[in-house]
Amino acid sequence: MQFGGDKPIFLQLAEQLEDGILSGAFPEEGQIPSITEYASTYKINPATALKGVNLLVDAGLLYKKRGVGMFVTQGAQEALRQRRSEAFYQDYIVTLVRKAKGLNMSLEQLTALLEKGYQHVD
Amino acid sequence: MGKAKPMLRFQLRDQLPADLIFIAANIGIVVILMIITHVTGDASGSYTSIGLSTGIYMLVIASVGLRSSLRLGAQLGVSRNRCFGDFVLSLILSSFALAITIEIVLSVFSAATASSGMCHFTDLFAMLYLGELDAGALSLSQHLLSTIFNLCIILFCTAIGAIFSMLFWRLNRLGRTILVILLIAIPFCFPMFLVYSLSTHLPALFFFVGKPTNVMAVLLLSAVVLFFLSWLLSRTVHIRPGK
Amino acid sequence: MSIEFEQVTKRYGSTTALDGISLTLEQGHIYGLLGNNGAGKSTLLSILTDRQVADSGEIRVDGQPTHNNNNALKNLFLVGEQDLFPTGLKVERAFRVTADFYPDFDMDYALALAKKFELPMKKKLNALSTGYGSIFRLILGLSVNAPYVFFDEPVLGLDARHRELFYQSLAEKFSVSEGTYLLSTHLIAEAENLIDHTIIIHQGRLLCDGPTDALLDQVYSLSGPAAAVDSAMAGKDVLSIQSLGGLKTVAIQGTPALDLPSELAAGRLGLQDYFIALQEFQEKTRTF
Repeated sequence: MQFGGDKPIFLQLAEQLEDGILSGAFPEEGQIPSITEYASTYKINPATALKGVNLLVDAGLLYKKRGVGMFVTQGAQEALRQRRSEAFYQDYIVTLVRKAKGLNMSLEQLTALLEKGYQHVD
Repeated sequence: MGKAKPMLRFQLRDQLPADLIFIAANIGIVVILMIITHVTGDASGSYTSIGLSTGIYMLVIASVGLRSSLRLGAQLGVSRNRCFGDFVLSLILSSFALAITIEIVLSVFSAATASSGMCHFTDLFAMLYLGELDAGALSLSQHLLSTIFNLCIILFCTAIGAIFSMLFWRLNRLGRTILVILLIAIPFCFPMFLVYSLSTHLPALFFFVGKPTNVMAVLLLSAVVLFFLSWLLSRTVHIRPGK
Repeated sequence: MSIEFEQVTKRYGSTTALDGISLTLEQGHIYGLLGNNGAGKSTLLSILTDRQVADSGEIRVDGQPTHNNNNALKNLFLVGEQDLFPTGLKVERAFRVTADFYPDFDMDYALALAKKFELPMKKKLNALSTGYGSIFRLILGLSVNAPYVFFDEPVLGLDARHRELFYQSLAEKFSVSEGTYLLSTHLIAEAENLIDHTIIIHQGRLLCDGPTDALLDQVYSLSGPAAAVDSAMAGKDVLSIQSLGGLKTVAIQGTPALDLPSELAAGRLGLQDYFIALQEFQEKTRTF
């Protein structure tokens, strides 16, 4: 996993953590790797790693057990799903429509493509 | 205070093996000399300048070691003053130890070969001021004076090593070229100077040199001045890695 | 314990290597010191650790000048492009000597790193290759545990795997210890995620000094059809321009407008890209 230059590193890390919670890679009440492990594995500054982790802590998705490490809160997966759903419009629909309009695609054509996608993509 | 010990310890630990090798080499030379004399039956060989050769050895140690010491200090967070001070201290300690050792070595060999009428073991002090060609014949107080005399010579030599080392390090190409020219010019100019001073100040010069204490004082004073100048140069020199 | 550089100036004959550099280093960061060859980075670090004397200006550690001062110098350790040990010293002796002078030196850690990097402990320093010389020095830097450790081009001659290992070790070390580190490097891209505070020097002058994230927040790239880019960049502080056919990419100082035309894409610059853009800008605005 590499960190690109398109977004601040701490945001990218936060996103990766969220993806992991959502997909179940980081199960609820389970522990996530330590700041030191993140810093050394990805060769990023620990302060940056901490910043990213803290974003999730502030959002209530992670909590800290003193002397042990960071854990995924109960219900985090569902909370994330909710949040991502609400952000779905902004994150994906807007870009999709913009791109479609850029190709002079009509709403009907776009809808047809969506239907095709739901049929064939798993 | 904490930094004084590691630096001094390192310098002494570094110098000790070299000193031992120097002593061993000299003993080796003496043994060879004795063997040659014994084999050839020629009793005119002499071993007379160990004080001076120790001085030259220490001159080299001083010139190389001062830079090495400043470099190590720069790498390991020790100030220039502390490096310089500790190094000079180690030089003094070495000089003391060597002066005493060579005096003992000289006496031992002299005593060992006294009866066989072999080569002469003596040193500068004894030769110049006691007219003595046999170190074994010296009294204890004379040995002491000889040791101190040698010590002064050695310390003077270390100061020479230090000042030239710092001069060459500190000066730029132009300065160094001038210095080399001056150094080469000395063997040419010195005889002329000698002739001139001998013809005009001969009695005074002899009188001065005649007293060993005068010579020792001049040597020590010069050493102090040269070390002081070296220290001044060490304060601003660009400490770069050596070859 | 902070380090203050105050108007540090150094001249070599007619060239000015450092021209009134003033900045402050605080604990708890991994600093990046960036600049072209000859910008003055090594000179600055050399004066900091009293290997050279400045012509004017002063550097203070916790209020105490570093020049000829044990109390200040003992808090610093410089890993230069060459070390100043006696060249005939063996690696393991050099470790022990360093431990002698820096009481917090972690010998176990140093030996463990030496094993990881496959550093031959019995070899003399002058028998090490360029790469292993660098490895020897960087292990010292990582093990010494001085309050401030400075790395000047620490990965010279290192293969990719060893460079990775260094960055990982540095990140891990920084995470678990109290040390402050400074990385002076040309290989910006590899190290940019470690550097949380960036200092850029150009021709002896300070160009940049700020938290990396904040610096990169204040610059963006804009790419798209040349005409659209041209109109969007009008009136802005353009740092660099790149053209390929009809496409143009520019780096602009500032923040992108929220209502960009759809054919334009705004992006965030990485530290190396920002550095290069800044250099191009300096070249453009150089006065003769």
